[in-house]
Amino acid sequence: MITLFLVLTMLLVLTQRTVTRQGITVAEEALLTVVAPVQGVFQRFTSSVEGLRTSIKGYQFLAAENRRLQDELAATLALEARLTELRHENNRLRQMLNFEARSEHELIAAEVIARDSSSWFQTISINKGSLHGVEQNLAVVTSEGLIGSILAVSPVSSQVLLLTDNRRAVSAMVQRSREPGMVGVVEADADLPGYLRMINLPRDANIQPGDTIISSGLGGIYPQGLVLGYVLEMVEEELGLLRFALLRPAANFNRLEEVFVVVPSAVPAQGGEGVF
Amino acid sequence: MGAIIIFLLLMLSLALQGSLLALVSPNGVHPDLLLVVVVALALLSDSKRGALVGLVAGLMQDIVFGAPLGFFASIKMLVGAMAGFLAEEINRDFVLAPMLLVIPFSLFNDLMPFILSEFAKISQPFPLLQYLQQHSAGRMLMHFFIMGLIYPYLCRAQKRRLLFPQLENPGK
Repeated sequence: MITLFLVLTMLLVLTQRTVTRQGITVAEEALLTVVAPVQGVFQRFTSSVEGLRTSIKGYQFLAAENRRLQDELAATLALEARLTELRHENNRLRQMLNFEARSEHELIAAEVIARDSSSWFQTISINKGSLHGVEQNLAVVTSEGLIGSILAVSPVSSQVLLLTDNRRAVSAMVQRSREPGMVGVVEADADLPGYLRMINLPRDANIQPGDTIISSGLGGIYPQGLVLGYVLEMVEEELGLLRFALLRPAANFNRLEEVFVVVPSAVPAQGGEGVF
Repeated sequence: MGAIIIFLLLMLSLALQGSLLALVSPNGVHPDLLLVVVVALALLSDSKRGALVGLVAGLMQDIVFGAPLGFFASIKMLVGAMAGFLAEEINRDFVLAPMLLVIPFSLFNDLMPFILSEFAKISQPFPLLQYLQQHSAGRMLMHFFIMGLIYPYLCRAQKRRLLFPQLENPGK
């Protein structure tokens, strides 16, 4: 009984000290390295089961989806051509203005091999690690937007701390207004799990429902311009001095299968975001 | 040999919990397979071994899913110890006893994070009552049936002394 009490006390102290920890020990790295392949096998099996279930759900739905995606692909190709033009123009203008052009980000594609099912911490595991060039604190995105950052890295797998985890906050701004004073912090909404909120907004902030919220690039973890979410409504803080915006995340956190780790080649290093 | 089998069992449970069982999520409620395995193993041994199995299982969960170290380890260690205390009180060949016992342990497993989060200053993702209403009831039911599925196999393995070879009398 005394041993149990002592171990419990040690664990509680350990918990308190590791809430905000960054990085993992060699022992943890070894365990993650052993577990990752097993998780990968089960995740592939799970994907097969889920794929079968989806197929059974309705061939017609898939056919309609296919038609819609083909239309979207055609539209996207046109958009991409336009985007390429704009990128060239942007580079030319930057050079003209003597701005240092931001480099393209390298993306490392990864598959989600597991996710925490405890409801307390929002993390996923991916099948790429330090051997593939993944490093701690790199941003992780899907085609829809930013989903989080790398929490811990082992040689063949990594843990991603999702935006919906209360331990993470991101410096962000409104894409439409882009006012210098409009940089807020996006964090998980404790009252509405799965949603985000942008806090510390002044009462006269130029922000409205439907606005797109993007990462501001401050802090050096997240590159600028990654879509975080969309404003659903504005809410006044208790004392009425500040407001916060309730956001719908851009990415679907319930359906994360393939993600990309963003390897920035040039990121401004300033304060403003990090693990809380 | 027993320790290796238990470690592999815990690793398998962890991998299943983060993948296949994530599909089984009515209203976002996922079963905690690791908890069921810890309770089952503790009921087949004693409080000391139950606590040790719970500690290892919880630490693995903390590491693999990026939780603060010790968060789930302390909860699962307590669950293992308490379940182990009851090991001598039940008929281990009677599967309904573990199936019923896993229900209060599920509730304990759901309540403890709220107490720990206050201690470790971790913000709570749900209000306690909402969490109990939306998650715990469903999870208790899931654990009841999962225990019914896995316990007979673990009991059979223990009778062949594959899990805890040092225990003299695996059945009562």
